Amino acid sequence: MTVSNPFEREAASRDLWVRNQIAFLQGQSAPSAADVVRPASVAELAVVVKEAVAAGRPIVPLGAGSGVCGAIACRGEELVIDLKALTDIDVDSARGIARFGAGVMGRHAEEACNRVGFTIGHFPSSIACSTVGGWVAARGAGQLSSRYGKIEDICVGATAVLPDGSTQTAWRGSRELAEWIGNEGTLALLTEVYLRIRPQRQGWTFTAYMAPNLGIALKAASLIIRQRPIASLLRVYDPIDSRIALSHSKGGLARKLPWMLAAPRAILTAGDLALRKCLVVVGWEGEGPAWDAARTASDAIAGALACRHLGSGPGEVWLARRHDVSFKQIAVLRSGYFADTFEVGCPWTRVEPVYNAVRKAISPGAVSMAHFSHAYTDGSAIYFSMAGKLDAYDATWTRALKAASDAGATISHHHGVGRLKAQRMIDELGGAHGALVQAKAEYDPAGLLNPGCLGLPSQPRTVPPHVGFAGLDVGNGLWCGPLSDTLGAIEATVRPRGWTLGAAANAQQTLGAWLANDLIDPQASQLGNARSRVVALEGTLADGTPFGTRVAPRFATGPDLRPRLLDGDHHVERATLRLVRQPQHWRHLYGEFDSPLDTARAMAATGIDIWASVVKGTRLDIWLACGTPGERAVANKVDWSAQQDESAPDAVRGAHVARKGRFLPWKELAEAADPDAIIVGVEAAGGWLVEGGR
Amino acid sequence: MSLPGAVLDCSVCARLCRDVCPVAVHGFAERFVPSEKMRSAAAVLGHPAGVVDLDRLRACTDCGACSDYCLYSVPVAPWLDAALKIAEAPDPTPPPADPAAQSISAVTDGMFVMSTCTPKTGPARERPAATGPNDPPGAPAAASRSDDFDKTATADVKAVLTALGSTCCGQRLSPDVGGDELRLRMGRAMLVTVVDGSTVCVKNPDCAAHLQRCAGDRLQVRVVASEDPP
Repeated sequence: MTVSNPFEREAASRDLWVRNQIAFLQGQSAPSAADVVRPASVAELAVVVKEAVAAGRPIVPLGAGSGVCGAIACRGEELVIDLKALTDIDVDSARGIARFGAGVMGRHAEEACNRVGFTIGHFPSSIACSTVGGWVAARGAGQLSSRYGKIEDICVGATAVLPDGSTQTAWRGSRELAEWIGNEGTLALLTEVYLRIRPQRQGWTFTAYMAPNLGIALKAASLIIRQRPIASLLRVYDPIDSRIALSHSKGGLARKLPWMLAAPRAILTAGDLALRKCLVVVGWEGEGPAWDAARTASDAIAGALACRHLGSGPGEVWLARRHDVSFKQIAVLRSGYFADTFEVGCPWTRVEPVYNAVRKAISPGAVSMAHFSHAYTDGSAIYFSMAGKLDAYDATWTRALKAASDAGATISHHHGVGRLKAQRMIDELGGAHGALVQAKAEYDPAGLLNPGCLGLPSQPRTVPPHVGFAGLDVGNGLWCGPLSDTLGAIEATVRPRGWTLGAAANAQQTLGAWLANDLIDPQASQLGNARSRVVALEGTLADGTPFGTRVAPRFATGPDLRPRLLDGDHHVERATLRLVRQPQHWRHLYGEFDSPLDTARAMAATGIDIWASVVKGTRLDIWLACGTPGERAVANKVDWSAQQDESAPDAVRGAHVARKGRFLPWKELAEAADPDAIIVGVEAAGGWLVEGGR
Repeated sequence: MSLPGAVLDCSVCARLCRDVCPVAVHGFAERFVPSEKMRSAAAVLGHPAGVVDLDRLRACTDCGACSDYCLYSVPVAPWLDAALKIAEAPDPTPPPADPAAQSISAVTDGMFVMSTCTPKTGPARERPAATGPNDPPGAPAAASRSDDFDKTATADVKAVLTALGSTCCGQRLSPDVGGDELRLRMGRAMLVTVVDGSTVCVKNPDCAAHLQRCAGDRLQVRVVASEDPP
């Protein structure tokens, strides 16, 4: 259906990029698209895309337009394809998966799951004004990403319309899904996404601390996030943001902005001297002994670092005000200043240097503060809020992006790239820009999908690679080395320090073979396929260009190119891998069942984190990690009537070796698996069918 | 003369209220998102960058959901109403004085909050009477909804309402009690012209599609260039 109304074209040709907002307030109108269409079905969308490409018309896909990086922008000739009429919802709580049309609004999707007692676990501040398709297309993150992961961790499948008008569905572990997630409409148009859903937990358990300084606060956070059960929420506030966060609970802080902006660099210096204490807020979804044990462990870590215990109050305040921030930008804009946010990701040991570098770079034209709100075992996001004079907007962004990149952070953790950060994409990819250009050429040779976004289309550009380290990085829980190393040698290096790669089953195999075949290890199947453990790759592209991708816990800088780099004609020499803490105690549940897959599915549906699982014939083995009091409390709650013991995964049925697997959601898994099939890594949404099992 | 602060605030807001607006949700159209409607109101009131799009000003059910959701309880519907009256007046009235001019450039708790608005912390509040600092001049205290359906509606209108279940987009449909023709209102918006008890005409194709889905085969919904029946 073509929407010919010129006013709709005007409204559908932009997103919430602050530069657009500033332009509006200054009386400037943005260019509009030539047409807007709103297909009512995937079939209609496919026809629209095919015809537009055949006619050589640039296409800009539109969800709810809540992006803040200019992914939606037009110059007058584009066809905007509004995907909001794709609103199918199918929540299958029995199988732990939900299918959403790309146009479903985020809150409606979450509410649909809540009605059957489940949650997606994805709570971006924009949940009320963003679509599910937009979450995936921009590689977004929710406020509870520490527990649920970012959207790339939650999304187990998707259907997309490709520029030739064909429709394709891809599942987790495939190169296609890796490249569709985060493509920002430059490679394919997402039409449906399949999200893993989990049972909702009732209540919260909060704790909070005041750390003497930022370094200690970050140290505490990096240790707390490695505890199990993992915290859903872990936020560190810098000194200024700490004052503000605490003032919420006290009822308000004085107004400061005009005079702060009079001398932003002086404010930065004075603030650093006067304010040092930092707030740390930790929260677990759920109430009861398991969460009390987790809180006790967290309190012990913080106490050992001389942090002062603040109780649950700051966490409860956060919960009550978690969506307020987006409202608060408005008055700053209207009072003649800009207010914008900038989020980056980096390993734990780079967090403070990146924070200092970016704030210093921002300070000539703006004041800033930050919080650290998406914590992972191997790093964290830094979320900067900055405000300055309007004429300093572009220069401030340029300096901030360069400072973050130079200091070792990815230029986006979850907002995406759009056009705002497009110029930095070449540096961001550390020589692998050619792989992105290759992907674009394969999907969209005419360069018609969202031109300008991600800096595409483009010619390959060569820049120095990001160079990794060597060996075990204890501070970040990472290992980096050549692909010729054996998995046994890697485990021997990291196990004595309490870490594991989760690849002990194939000790003689090289890392290169493990990654090339993308194996899944039944002894640590919760960790997923081999490639999901890859943080960064170094090598040379097929044309001889050296590359080294950014080491960061997560990113939102376009498609995931790692499968392409590993599969294609490119040559990978070294890899940086994410490690996990090796559990020391186990609860091993096993038995013979008429339908072991159903038993496994029922176990996964409880929402419990399963470390490893193997279904073979009628036999089911499940291992629950019991390394911490919290984990033990959770594991002890599991009702299991069959056999059980405390043996570790590698002590039982040692004949299992890592093999290539294919992730399938439950329904497809049940259809594909024959009686002799081996299925590993069962989780809420499905499991991995091992190829050549039996 | 400066523009009303509330109108500009909405115009550059993050659109968090978009999924509680029945017209935006069911119509899908981007221009019917409350903030986009307020951009049009801004244009009517003299802002150079907005577009004067009367459909946006009319596409409001007066349900108040956006104001309930808004952290600052900005009274969107009264502002749209005021802008519409100005736009439709034969001799356009000058823009009203800025009722919230004093509210800007204040920085308070946390980050940046308008001083004359009270941040909302709890669940949605009752919709405030239109006498606050963000309200347009002469705005009514609350939208009145017609409860005299049985007294005024014709058989044809009753048949249509029966087919639609008396509601659309969660909002009550009511007969246009003052009009000469058989029309239905949803809140303040004039949505449907009743041809007879089984046929209606709608100008907005999105609304038409939604009405048709609501009514199924009990009602024939035609899309017309205007709300007048052919």
